[in-house]
Amino acid sequence: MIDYDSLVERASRRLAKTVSRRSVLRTIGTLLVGASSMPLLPVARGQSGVKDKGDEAACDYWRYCAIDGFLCACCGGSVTTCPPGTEPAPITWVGTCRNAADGQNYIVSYNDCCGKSACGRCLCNRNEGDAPLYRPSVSNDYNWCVGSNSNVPYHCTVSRIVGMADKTA
Amino acid sequence: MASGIVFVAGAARADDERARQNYLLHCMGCHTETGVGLPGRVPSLRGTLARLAQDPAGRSYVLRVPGVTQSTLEPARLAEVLNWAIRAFDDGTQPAQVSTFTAAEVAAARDYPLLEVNATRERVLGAPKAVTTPRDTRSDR
Repeated sequence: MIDYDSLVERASRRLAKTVSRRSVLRTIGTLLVGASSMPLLPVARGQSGVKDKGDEAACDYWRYCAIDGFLCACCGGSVTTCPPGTEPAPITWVGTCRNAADGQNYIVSYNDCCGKSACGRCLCNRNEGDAPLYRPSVSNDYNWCVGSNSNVPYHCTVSRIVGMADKTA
Repeated sequence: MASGIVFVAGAARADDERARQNYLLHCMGCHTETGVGLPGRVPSLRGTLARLAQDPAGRSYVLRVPGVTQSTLEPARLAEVLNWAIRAFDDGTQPAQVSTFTAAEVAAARDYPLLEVNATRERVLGAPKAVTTPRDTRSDR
């Protein structure tokens, strides 16, 4: 039968002989500082495969070329994710935006995030390619939250790249 | 001969990509990226489009719905999108047995928009199933 007490005792004594208390404290301290600073390090926030440049919380960011609403990046979400407590409306309007970083045109889906009252920060109203209300899928004047599960309250808008726009007629 | 086959295959892929991009630009806003629509509000294309395209009443319905009659795509491009969507959203409904839509067919039918869209759909497809989970399955990018 294995004597666990003896095993642990021997391992502890071996560790105490070979490793100083200061070095243990230093190692633990390094791990703590390292772990806490990891979220602060710069990360690639662009979609994989898309060269992305610009401030996602600024209205002149390239993906926002046909947007009309509050930027979710200023409201606790990101350029593609709704803030906590809201959900994206599945019915959207669609625009085509040119990415200056690679000179390509991309199809962008603008999904309203719904379920909380209006965010009120970073209002952005750019209307490239915006169409009148009688062409709803390319009109940005609707409150698309009427099509969501949580229904009407509009909070902010995200901008998802859904594809290239290099072969459209 | 071999180069001809490669050329034809390449052209088909280019047309598919053009059709997909036109779908994203002109149809996705309502029918969603995956074609599931919004149960109770926007009809799903998955499975149903291929079924509708298999008989004259269904084809007439498809070509006269608001999304088709109000589309700004020219007939040839619109036919291309419809034929791509049948394959992309077939969900095992054997699209090989479906005749493709032609530009002439699209141009002729879209001059006669449907007034009773839901009733016509029910007549050609049968009563819709009960609304269950109105969720889209696309991922955030």
